[in-house]
Amino acid sequence: MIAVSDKVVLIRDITALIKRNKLSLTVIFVSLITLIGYSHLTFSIEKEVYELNHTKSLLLSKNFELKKEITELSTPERINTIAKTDLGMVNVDYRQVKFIDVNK
Amino acid sequence: MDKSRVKLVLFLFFSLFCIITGRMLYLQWINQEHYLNTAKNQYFQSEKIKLPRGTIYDRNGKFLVISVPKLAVYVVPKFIKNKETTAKQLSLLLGIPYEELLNILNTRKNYTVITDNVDLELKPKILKLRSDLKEWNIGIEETNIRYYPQNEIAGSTIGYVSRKTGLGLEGVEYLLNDYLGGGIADLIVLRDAQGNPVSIEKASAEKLSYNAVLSIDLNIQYIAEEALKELVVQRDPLEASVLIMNPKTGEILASATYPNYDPNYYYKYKIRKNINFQHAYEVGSVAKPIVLAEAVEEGKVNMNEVIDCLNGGIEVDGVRIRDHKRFGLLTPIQIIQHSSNVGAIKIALRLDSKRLYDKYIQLGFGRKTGIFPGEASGFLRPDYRPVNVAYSSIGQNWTATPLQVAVAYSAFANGGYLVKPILVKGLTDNSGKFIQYSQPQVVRKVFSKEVLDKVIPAMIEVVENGTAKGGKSEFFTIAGKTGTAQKYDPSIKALSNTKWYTWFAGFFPVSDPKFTVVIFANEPKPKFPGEHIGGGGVSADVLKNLVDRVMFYYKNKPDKQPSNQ
Repeated sequence: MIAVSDKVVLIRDITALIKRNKLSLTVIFVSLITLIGYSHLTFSIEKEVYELNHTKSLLLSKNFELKKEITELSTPERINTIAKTDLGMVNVDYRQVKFIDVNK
Repeated sequence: MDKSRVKLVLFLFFSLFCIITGRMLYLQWINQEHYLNTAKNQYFQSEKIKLPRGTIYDRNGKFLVISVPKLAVYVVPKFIKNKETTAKQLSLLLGIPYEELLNILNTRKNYTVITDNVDLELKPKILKLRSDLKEWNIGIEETNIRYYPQNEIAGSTIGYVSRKTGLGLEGVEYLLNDYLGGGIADLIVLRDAQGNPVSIEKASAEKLSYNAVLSIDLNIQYIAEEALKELVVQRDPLEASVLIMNPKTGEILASATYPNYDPNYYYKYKIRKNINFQHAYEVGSVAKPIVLAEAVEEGKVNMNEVIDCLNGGIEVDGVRIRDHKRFGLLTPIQIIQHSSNVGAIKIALRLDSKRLYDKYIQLGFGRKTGIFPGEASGFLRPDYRPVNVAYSSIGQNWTATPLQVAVAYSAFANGGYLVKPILVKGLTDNSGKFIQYSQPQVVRKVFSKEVLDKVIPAMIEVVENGTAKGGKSEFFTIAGKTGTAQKYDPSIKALSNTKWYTWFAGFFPVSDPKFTVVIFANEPKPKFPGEHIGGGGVSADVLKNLVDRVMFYYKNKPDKQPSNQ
């Protein structure tokens, strides 16, 4: 058990210690806060970068999906089927083709 | 103060200090690696992802192949606590039947990919599901699906990419592995306390990733595939192909093959070869215009002379070689027009045999062109005995790929130059700028103008009035030569009289040749019982279907006046 007088002495000593090292303690405390803040900032920036990258890859993915769709819609096979079955078109017969000389 | 108590306290402090120091040494020095790895494993996780691969375009910028970013969802079934709930929830989210998922979870133990075709948009939902169910052994990986939007069109030329390694295994995909990128990359990902990825800490060295532009014209390719389909329906061959090339630049515009495959489902097909490049066959009478050209060059034939074709057979070195018909007296042009074996052999035997073989070699036979992986070189072994010279003149003792035949016939079409074939026109970066471009390349001059002036009329006669007349166009002049080679039949240990390779090689329009075409079939069947199988008959319908459509696509004016106009 510590006597009351000892406690008073201990508190006095600690206070003296703090007063004597005020500057050093302030520096340590500020550095600690800065470090925590910096670490938090780095973490949130990295998270943001990751999320932005994710959004970018989502958009890229959508872009490729759209390209895929365009290609599927414009395949010669599909166009040929639509032309022949839906529109009743036939393969070219050169007898029905007239060439016009635009230079004349 | 009691000295012994002071000593005791000091001893206790010292012991505590020693214990702490010892423990620190143990953690930081002796067992450092183990604890470092444990810490790394808690926060960092290694992931393998399939890298995106460059796009492949046709010559007009149409997509032939694209890589679409997707998610792969995997599970480690032995660690899944509630299999029924997991299967049910995943089924609702991914649209995969519940029974199928439950079966995977019940029958498999280790890492199993459920699907690799999930939209990236579903990623947060999957992560949330994992977190809600507290099933940490459901995982996702970013991946790329190689997609071939044209399905089977040009399938055997484009090739495919392995679903496991993400690298090309056949065709152009294999050829361009070093440029298109792809493959698997190792990523080190930093994760938060819930296991969600926060940042990519380290990625294995990135590969080059360019896009490729092929010389193929998708529309011409489609026309060629349609024409080939009809041949296959009519003739039921073992193999068949159509190859179209620009004779002046060597650019391959279409390469249609049967059998073919859909690269999206390559694993379902047993045969994944491209016979235009990877197989060589006896060329038959397609060799005859080359023999005539060499004879003209050596001055060993007069185009107005008449050669006795001996009514159907000739004996060389004691071996009797027959004609497909009993021909009598024929001019050199008629020999080509009617494809007389005896006539061609008689001309060949007049030649310097070494020079004749040199001509074959100069035309590129017996050597790979180097434009396609796994390309066949063909068989051509110079043998100067008369019987072998005779057989070589009718294309029976040497083989060539359809590509080699197209290159050789392009020399007839382009004024006598052997051009290097081009399949990959170039490589582009992501802005579409060419970083590599294949310039047309003349290898050597192989025919003089004088030779061509004499041989090409014979080749026109083949299509107009000869063995290929069934395929002539009313509107465009075609020059070419048919070929019918007997196949070797191992069962009778001799050349078969029922199994044939049939060919047509030619170019059009003769007035200004724009296309060289080679049509090939292996063992085509007769259309009706008793039909004589020949290169002309087999290729007739393909030519008819092809020439006018291709010429109209390029808006070319006919070079011939139709007979009924």
